[in-house]
Amino acid sequence: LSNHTQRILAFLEEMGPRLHALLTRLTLRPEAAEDLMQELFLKLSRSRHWLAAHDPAAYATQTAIHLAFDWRRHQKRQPHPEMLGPEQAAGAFSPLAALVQREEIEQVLGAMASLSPEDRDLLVLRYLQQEPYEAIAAQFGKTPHQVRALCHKALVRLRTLLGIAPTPVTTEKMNHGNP
Amino acid sequence: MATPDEADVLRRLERLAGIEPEGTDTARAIERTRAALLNPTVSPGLFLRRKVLVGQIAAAVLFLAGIAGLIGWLLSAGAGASLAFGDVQEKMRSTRTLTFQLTREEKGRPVETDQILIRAPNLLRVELQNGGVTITDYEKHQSLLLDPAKKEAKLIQGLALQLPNIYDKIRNAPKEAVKRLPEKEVDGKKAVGFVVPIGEEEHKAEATVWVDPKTQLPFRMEITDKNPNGTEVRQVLSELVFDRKLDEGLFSLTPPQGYTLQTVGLAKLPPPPGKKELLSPVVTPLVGIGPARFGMSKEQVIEALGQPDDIPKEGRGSLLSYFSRGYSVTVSPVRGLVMIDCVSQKTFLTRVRDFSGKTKEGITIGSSLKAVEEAYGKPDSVNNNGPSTKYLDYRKLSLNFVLFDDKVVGFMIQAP
Repeated sequence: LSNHTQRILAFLEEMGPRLHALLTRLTLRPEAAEDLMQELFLKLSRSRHWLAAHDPAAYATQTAIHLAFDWRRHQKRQPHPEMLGPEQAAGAFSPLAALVQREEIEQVLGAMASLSPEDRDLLVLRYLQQEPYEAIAAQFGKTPHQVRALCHKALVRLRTLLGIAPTPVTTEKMNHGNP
Repeated sequence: MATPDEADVLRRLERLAGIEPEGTDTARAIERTRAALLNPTVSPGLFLRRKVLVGQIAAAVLFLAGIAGLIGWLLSAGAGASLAFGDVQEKMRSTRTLTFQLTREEKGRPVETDQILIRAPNLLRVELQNGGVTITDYEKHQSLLLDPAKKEAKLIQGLALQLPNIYDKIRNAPKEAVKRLPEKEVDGKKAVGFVVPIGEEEHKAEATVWVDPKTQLPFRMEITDKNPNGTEVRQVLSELVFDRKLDEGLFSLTPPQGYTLQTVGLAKLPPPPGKKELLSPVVTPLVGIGPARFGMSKEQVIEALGQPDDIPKEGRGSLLSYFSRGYSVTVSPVRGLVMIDCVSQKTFLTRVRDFSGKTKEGITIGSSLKAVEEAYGKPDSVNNNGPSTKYLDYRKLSLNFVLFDDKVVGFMIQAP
């Protein structure tokens, strides 16, 4: 209270797991997700926009997306020892398949970072958070039909970006992944 | 490289969507975030110079502590600024309710305006600018949070707020010297101003109180200071009304019809266990706590430590809460017992017992930074969170300490 502390703590309890899952997907690094989670909530606790937001959860989700992609921009591109295990990241069975899938996922995230913020937010909300078009439409102040079209265009742009991305898996990595 | 077809991109996105963090990671992230939010130097608060313990920092408490101090001055006889004001004090001595508007300003701009309703001796209702409502009963240690937009209600039980009766505070408020200001026009009317010392010790601040000389009642108060990150924060209490009739229903802890209710926390902590090894266990880094060892399954942990007080929903079944003993443990379905968290009330909004055990090297809640360093050496990293909070990390031992004012308020060990 200001009620403020109780309010943000209640929000943490309610939305924390969902936002942490989102940050984990966008960073693929548990410790980064944890750091960003803290940063996110501290930011929200100081934000007058969040306080006044019509939909605080949507505001928090968009802030999380922006924080995660800002973080990605500042990261070195090398694999990190503390990254999620390949099987966790890709749900695959063999180490090689896991590595390939992991690289594909990294590629997707890398390409998404190059999209416009609106395209990126739409793709994250629709395809990673799997929110219905109606809910996204309410957040963006558009009709579900318009959002569907915008998501499709964003997907086309993502495909284009992925088409020019470098080949992800090197021989060295393959050997490492499949000893 | 060929442009992947849409199905391929969707497949990759689907895979990404399927990634879920481990329950333990989520529990840890939430725990750490909670600690950061509760840190007085991080959260923007209503009160200033508050190098305070987290148990006291629920902003409501600080807010009420300040208000109570202020009202205490108003009610205390012989505060000394003006004889005329003595009549006002006398009139207000029997007040039972107070309502006002609270505006928090930063850098001269209003950030939030809330409506506050207080009913003696234990009820507080805050109506937030965005429509949310919080009702707190300090005697019942419960707080009800209402979200009218979503028709959702959350009842927090076992609230550990330290101000069960603000009127006690008022009665006990020390008589302070008050400085009278020259008359001037405020909010379009002639007003007499008083500068009033409010709060105690770390919470000390000054408030300017504007009184209408005709009604002899205060109608506006302003408190200005800087928060720990240097930003000027100003609290403006306006439209003060004493003894307005406030319906009991305004303070009901029963959610309105049609609301979904979620209950958080325990109304009452279970009695502590009789066995010392369960109540005050030895925590051994890389090994475990008391009879529970890292790697044990959930069933084995429960057999070793007994039934938990609660298995909170947010822990997805992995978090076993033993807060009646001052600790919680996290058990991964795959890796077994992976994390042990020893806590104290200073880091919790809801009631917990302070952990009364110790680490194998003798560190316990309340140990000094010096004692920690003597036991474990210099930490691998120290993160400061404002001037009063430190996080110490001993990587090889998978051991972390949280310190407020260089005293341990919690520590956590993780599986090797």
